[in-house]
Amino acid sequence: MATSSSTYRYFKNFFDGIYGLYLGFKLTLKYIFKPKVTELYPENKRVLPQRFRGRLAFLFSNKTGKMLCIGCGACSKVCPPQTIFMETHKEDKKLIVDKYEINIGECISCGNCVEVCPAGALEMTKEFETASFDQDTLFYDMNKLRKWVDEPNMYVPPLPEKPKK
Amino acid sequence: MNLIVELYTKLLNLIPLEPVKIVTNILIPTLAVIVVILFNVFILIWWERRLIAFIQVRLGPNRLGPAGLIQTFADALKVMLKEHIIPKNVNIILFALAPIVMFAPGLIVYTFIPMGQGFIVSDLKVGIFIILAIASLTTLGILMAGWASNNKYSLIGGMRVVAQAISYEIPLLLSMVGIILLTGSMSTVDIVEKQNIWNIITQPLAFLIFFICALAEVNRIPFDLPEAESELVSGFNTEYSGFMFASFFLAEYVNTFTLGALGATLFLGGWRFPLDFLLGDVGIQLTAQLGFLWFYIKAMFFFSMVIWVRGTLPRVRMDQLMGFAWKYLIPLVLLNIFVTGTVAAWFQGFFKV
Repeated sequence: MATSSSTYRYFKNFFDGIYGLYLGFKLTLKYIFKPKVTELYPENKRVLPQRFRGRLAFLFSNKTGKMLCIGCGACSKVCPPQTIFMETHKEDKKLIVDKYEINIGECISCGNCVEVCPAGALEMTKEFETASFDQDTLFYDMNKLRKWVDEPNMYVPPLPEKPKK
Repeated sequence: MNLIVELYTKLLNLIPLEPVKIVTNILIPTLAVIVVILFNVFILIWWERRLIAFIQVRLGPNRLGPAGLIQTFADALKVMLKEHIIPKNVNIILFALAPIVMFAPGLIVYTFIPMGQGFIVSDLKVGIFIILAIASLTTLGILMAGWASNNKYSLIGGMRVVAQAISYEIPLLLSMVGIILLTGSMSTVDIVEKQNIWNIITQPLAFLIFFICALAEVNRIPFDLPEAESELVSGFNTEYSGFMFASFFLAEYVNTFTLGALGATLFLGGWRFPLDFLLGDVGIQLTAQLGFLWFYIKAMFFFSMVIWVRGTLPRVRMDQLMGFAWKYLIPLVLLNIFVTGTVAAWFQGFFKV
């Protein structure tokens, strides 16, 4: 039988190999001219998803000019890395917040604090470039976290979107 | 006393009377070639990184300088500033000599490669022969490095180089025999001047074999067994660091480009503009004035093909490597010589009794 002789196998191996090479080279040649997937980060930033969780923001009302926080301390209790630090004192049966401080380096951006807040006084912004050369600058106090809003952020998660290509 | 004066005058006669001529005819061309070749390595590394990235749907270095061209200079500077580590128990003489032995042949070879019309340092009648003789010395450098490192992996890498180089040098040399038969000369200048039609068209099989053997000669993927990162921890240059490692790296690229230049000279018409003999006066001027450009483009084309192969093929096994050279390439190249020889003899009227 000719199909099993070693001469046949020699030539079959040879031409099979050439065909395989042809397929491989055709593929890589095609890929050279394909659009590249690399994103040039600082110049071209991606469009962030709607539910993106970045740095925390401490909300102040535009109408009253005061903070929305009622000082219940739920956020600092629910915080998994326990990085929210809060100091309050009582005045007319109301809690007044003296100090509200978080360490951005410890924050895991879980969003539990926003979810648990009864007054809607917290929000996850889309800001994420908080890296710094100095650890001390990672401590964000009330002034640094301040954001002016009209309405309290009563956490209603928007429907997830399909990512755009 | 008379004898001393006589000897002195004889010595004076030996020294050429025009030292300026030495500088202008030998020193400056040699220096120019070396500077161009070394500068070119930076472009080669950049081009390889860019093209391999394109194949992998990435962008590659694109930050430093226009399109990332200066990235390589920055990398070179970083490597030069690093510490020289010479491990204990190495053979220091061989250890220090190996990068030089590997690097020098790559530069010497360019003496015999014409880079333009009349742009050659030394045109020998046995040009191709001496090019390959010198280029094969790099094998010695790698073996020295592998042996001197006092490291098992390095030694295995060095021994693989020897086995590989010996196997692949035979088809590499034999693939050129067809061209030598057609041209009737081994001088690189003659070969280029007689290539009205590129040799790649008349000798396609020889070109293919030359290309494969060139890959194996310079230890490029898929024949990079001596420096297989996943098996041998980068093989013969494991123990090297700092500038010594850089010179290995440099030598690799110089040698790759050497074979690209050789391929361009032998198969792609060297410094000549394509089909310049048809264009008449314009063709002659294009060839004469811009010879280096055409040569460079052709050599870069060859180099780009090497990168393309790198982006496509995986590494072969050692037994596959050997079997391929002895079982496929050598029979093929002998067939090529036979056919070329028969045709050449027929054209010369050998069969007309």
